[in-house]
Amino acid sequence: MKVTFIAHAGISITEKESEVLIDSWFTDSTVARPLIQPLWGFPTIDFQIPKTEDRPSNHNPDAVLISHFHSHHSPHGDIMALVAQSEDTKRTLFGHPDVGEHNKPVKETFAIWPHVDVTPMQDGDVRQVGAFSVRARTQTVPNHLAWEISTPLGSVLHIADPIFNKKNTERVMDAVWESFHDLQPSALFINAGGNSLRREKDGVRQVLESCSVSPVEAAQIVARIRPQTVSLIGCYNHSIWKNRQEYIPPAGQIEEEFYWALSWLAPDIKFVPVKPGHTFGIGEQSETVDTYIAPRP
Amino acid sequence: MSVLGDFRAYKENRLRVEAVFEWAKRRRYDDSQIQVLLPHLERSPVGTPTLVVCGPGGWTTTQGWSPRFRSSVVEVWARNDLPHPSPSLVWDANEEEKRQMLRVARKTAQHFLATQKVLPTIVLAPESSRLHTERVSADVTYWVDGYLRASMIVENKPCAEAVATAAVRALHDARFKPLTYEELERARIEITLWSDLFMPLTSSEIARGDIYFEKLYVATDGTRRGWYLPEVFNCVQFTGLAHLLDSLARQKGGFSPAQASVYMTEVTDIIESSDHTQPFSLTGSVIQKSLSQTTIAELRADIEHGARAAAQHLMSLQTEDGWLPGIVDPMRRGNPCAVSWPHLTFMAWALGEWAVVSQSKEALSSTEKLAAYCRSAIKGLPLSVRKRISCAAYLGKAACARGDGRMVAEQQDILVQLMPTLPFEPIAYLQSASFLVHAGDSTAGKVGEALFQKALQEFLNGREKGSNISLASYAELITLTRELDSPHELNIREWYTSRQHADGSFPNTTTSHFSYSRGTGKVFEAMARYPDVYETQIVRSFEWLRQMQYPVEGLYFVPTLEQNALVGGFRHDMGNPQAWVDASGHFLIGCARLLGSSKQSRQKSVLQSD
Repeated sequence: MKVTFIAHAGISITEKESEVLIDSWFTDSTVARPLIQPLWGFPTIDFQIPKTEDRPSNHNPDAVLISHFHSHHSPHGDIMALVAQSEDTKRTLFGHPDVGEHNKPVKETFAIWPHVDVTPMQDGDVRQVGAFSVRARTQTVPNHLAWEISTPLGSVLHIADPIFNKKNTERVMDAVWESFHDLQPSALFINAGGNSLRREKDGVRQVLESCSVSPVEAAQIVARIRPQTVSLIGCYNHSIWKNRQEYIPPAGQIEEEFYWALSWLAPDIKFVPVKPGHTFGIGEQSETVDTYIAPRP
Repeated sequence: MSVLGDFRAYKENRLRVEAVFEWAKRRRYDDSQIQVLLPHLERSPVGTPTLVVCGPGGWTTTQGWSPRFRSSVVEVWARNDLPHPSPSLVWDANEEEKRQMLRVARKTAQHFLATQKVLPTIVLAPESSRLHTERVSADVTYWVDGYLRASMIVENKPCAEAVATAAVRALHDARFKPLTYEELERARIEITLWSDLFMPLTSSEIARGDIYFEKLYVATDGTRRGWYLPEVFNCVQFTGLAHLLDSLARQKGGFSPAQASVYMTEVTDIIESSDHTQPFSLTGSVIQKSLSQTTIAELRADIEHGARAAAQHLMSLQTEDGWLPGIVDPMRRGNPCAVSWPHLTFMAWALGEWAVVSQSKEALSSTEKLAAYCRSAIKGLPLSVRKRISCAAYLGKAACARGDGRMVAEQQDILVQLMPTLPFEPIAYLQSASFLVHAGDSTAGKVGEALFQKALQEFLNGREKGSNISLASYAELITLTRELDSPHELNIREWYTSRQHADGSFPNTTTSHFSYSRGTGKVFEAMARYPDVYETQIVRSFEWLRQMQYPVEGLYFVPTLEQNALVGGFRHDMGNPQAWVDASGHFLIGCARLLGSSKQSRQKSVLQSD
């Protein structure tokens, strides 16, 4: 199994002829086309830091999965380009969080691609896609899914934009994380941005802290999950939103703080900082692999 | 040409040459390699030319060259093998690229109606496709259930983007009810791309009045513009070029035609098949059908198929009592018009000829009913002598085809009796002549021969004087000069052969460029009598006529319920979608002659081999 980091929170997982993409975002804002449309919801102006050179045309996915509907996780244009490629060759799963009545507009977005199996998924739903078993898991944020992709060689767990506790003001680990306890994936991808938000509500200015897990909180979650390797996602962009202003520390600072906490809490877990194009070989060693992960005994 | 006329021609040619040079500069042609072959403007290039500007037919080295503009006064040819300027989708889009353009339009429109989001064009055509790099101007038109429902232009963008943007903008074309997703499923999408070589329409061309139905017209007063794409000829019937230009300026541009400068350019036009799976290329508003066959023997199946469709079209129009409408007009929506009695009696003859060759009982019954209806109806009518004579000639020919000797004799008597009172009129004279010389009666034969001689003389005189001669009116000379061993046979043959257009059609008259299916059908019918002599001309005119014959797929602009009345009929001309039954009649007779003669030659060869 080979895992490639695309950009921001996007990864590609391949084994033999099968490919699964999660939160695949290739095309960021330009002066000519500043708005990034999501499949559902409102657009953002959004820049990858750093940018990927990868293109949708390099992929031929059997499944395209999204963790949630923010534009840099479910970019309309890139996902349309990805599924268009398999129009004449295969059925493609599009797995997304079950958003109730909003599932309908999501399905309509794919009306021109009858080969796409648009599937709202809930906690515990499992689909077999080519060589992979794809399992959806709920996490602390509503309308968000974590994805667990496994083959006999190993597994990948992708958790985008979680919070430490469903009650944003409480700084203790939520009970939800119990279900992730000791999953021991080969590779874990998790956010650690610790995003803070400026907002205005009823004429009152507010700052909401830790709207996603902070580096230290992420390290605590990772120590509970116990992967072989962990990499950070979700902190490699700059978004301009219509309804909020976001602050995320620079990615280097996040990585440093995360490593500082993890190396104390779980020194046996290898932290692999990633840049676009970084590859992991799970049970698969080759010259093109940047990080080799041995199969679990 | 007078000095003044000569000077005006020079001035107009100069305008054309300036337009070509301006375009060539934009297209990065080296202007030292442009050759001009127009009077008083001759210009030789340094070395081999890359671009040639000439009068019609003035550039004969067409191998390795492609036309960039063609009209009855000027042609522009470009060499194919140059790396720059790059070839253009307007000139050489292949089938796959046309399919991709339609896919871009349809998928973008569907997606927009479902989500209000615009698909990135990269999704719909391969990244390496020219559609993403080559800038064009494009129009997207939607036809729903035979009605025009939207049309929008986007200028100078990469092709895929131009098509996608026009497809979305057209969805809210304020002139029409907005399209729904369900209507889009039934819609047929037409895409027009056009060249950036805009040729000025000059005053002498306006005076001449020729309309180029396959070109785009744009009028401008300097700030505002009005456009007419070839699609317009399926929606509006213009009385002539003046009407078209007036409407273009006033209705489309919103300014007075007196202030307008008008330009024309070449287009590439495609429309989806009704199942949305394949593109059809259009010439004007007509689906292109290129035939690869070059001999009549190879065309036999197409001839038979075309003739059956034409016969079926006629028989489906016929009423219980035998009457046949003359014109089916898609713009009049289900109210067929009558035509003159000579036309109706002509149709009886045409169906009779077809009935004999096809051995179709249905066609035989149809011709009998129509002949009987006409014969009984015209008896009591106060018809002019010319009309009565024409009716008698056609009814006589119909009777000949059916082998009805009594009727032949009856019509022959009418003709012999009335002919001396008729002043010269080419059709009545020549039709009467061709009936009488075949009637088998020596007195009648002599009358027929005299009529032929009179018509021939009138033709030769007219030609010598440079009169405006109708090709269809004298087409019967093609058969009669040969049948009567006239010394003018070769003369007539060469004259007609030289008049044929590059597309296979024949012009209406000697001073016009305009072709129509009834006129070309008549010449085709006459030439078909001698397939060995006119094989090349017959094959080419057949190809043009087959293109004008309505297939189901070509009726995208006709309301669904009214399409059946037109299938198999012939579009009158590129600018007029009416189907006139006599065009089908000429075609049927021509096909019957070709099939009949090939049947005879097959029988002959069997006998010889026995």
